[in-house]
Amino acid sequence: MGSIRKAPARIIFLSAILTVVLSFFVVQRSYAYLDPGIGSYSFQILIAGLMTFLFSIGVLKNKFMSLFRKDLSETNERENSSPLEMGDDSGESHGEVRGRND
Amino acid sequence: MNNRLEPSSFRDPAGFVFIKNKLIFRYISLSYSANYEFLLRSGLYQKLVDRKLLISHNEINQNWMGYKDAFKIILPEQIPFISYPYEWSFGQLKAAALTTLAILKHSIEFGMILRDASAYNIQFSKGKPQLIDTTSFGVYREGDPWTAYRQFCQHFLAPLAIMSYTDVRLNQLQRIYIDGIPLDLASNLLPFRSKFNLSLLTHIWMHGWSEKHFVATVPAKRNMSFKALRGLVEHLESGIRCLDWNPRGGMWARYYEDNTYDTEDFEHKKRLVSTFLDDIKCRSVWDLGANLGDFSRIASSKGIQTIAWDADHECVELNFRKVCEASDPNLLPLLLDITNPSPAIGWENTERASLGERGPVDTVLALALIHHLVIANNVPLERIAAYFARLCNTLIIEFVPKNDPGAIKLLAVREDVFQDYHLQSFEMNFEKYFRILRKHVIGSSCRVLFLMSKLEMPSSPCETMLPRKL
Repeated sequence: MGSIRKAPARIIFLSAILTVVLSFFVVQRSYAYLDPGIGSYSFQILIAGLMTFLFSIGVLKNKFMSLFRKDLSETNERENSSPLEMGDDSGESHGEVRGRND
Repeated sequence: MNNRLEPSSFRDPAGFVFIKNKLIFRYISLSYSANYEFLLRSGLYQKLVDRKLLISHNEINQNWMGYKDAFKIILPEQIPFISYPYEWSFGQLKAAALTTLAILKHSIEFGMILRDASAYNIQFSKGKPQLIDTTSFGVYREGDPWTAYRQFCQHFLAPLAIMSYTDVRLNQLQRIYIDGIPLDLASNLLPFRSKFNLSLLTHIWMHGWSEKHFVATVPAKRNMSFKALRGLVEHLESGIRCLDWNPRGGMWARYYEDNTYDTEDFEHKKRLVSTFLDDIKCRSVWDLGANLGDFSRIASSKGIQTIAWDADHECVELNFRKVCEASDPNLLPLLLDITNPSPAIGWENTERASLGERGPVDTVLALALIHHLVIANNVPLERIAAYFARLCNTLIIEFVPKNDPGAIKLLAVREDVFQDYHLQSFEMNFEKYFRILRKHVIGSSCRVLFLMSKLEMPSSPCETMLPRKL
């Protein structure tokens, strides 16, 4: 009797796993002219959680550092004055999310 | 019409580049109109231009090309010289990578994203790396992964990592792999200790592994959150910033110290070069074998667009740092082995132009170079003269005779098979292609500095050297 009761639960469980596995085989198109690479595309999604975590840590760190804002801005000024760090000379910190226009 | 399509501009249906009357224009198709309007209206364009991260442009009203789906034709700020990543030093590639990420971060703030992250889209203009592709921007959709992630890793992170960890000369792999260094190859070239760098472990090692193992599976849901995207960009940026490479003071970087130039002779040579440059009033100079750019700076200080070419990574890197420190807008140090100059590569061998195709330049400076080409590389004088005639219109060249300490050093360990290497032969060979305008002995040395102008219609050296009847 016990095994008969367990059967529907097993079927549901296996179906759920199958759905998850099959979902990985359905190709979702990326709307870009550039080929992102299937492996690269999947990998990016795979590490999304890690990246979110690291970003959150960064935001918390920036908030903490903002307590010492004066020192931080001086450090930023020094960093941005370096001729080899040509990424951006705006002097802005990009640690926090700002408003988007979308 | 006199229009010519730029051979490298064919991949993106959003637009292409064409050349008319020696000016570069960009055609933007209707399919890109929404993105273009968003770029301008959102304020992102102005912000990037103000920060010198993107070249500015003017819209042209006429549709010269007569295409039906043309949305706009723009005239971008003209870049004096197009250089390629395999001609950049470590610092230049790193600066280009950080510029790309800075642009991406600004784009995300404004609700846009970079649709590509090609190193070829970054060019050095007025001493700063800037994005030259105005159609690189797309409106960001929440949940979308960054489609240019792999391209960024292949074009920037992987070459910088192997240059930093393995050997700086491996940047030449970019000549072979036009779409950046494959991540599995980069993984093979990197030492084990690079795995302790979280950025490299994630974005090269694991990323490269995933490319092999996720070849047939793509998640149905695009669940790359906005925070995850920002985290990815920040992580890539910290990874790039961590990578470093410092010159160790090699032979060429210490060239002038080790070769004990007489100070007066050196100063006399500088004065002569300056006078020659004033006489010919040129607008562009290529200094071949520029070392740390001492003579290139004579040209750049006169407002002449100057490229300081050298084959030595240390020299180019140190020169680039000096350019940054001085904020010199007219000098661009680049890597080049003149005995094996940058070839034409890519689709139909036309995507990236060879050195010669990017010329001719007004003036070539070839100072203390000829003996290295003839004695160390066995290049005949006539072949050198013929090649220089293809590269430039006027030539400032220094002849270094065999009794000069520099030439003696080169001949010390090899047989002297250069019977024709003397002043008369030098003049005779170069006069086939150039007219000698000035000729001065440098100080108390036995070196001679020449100013020459190209003769019309030089004949090919191969034609003159081949026997008439085979």
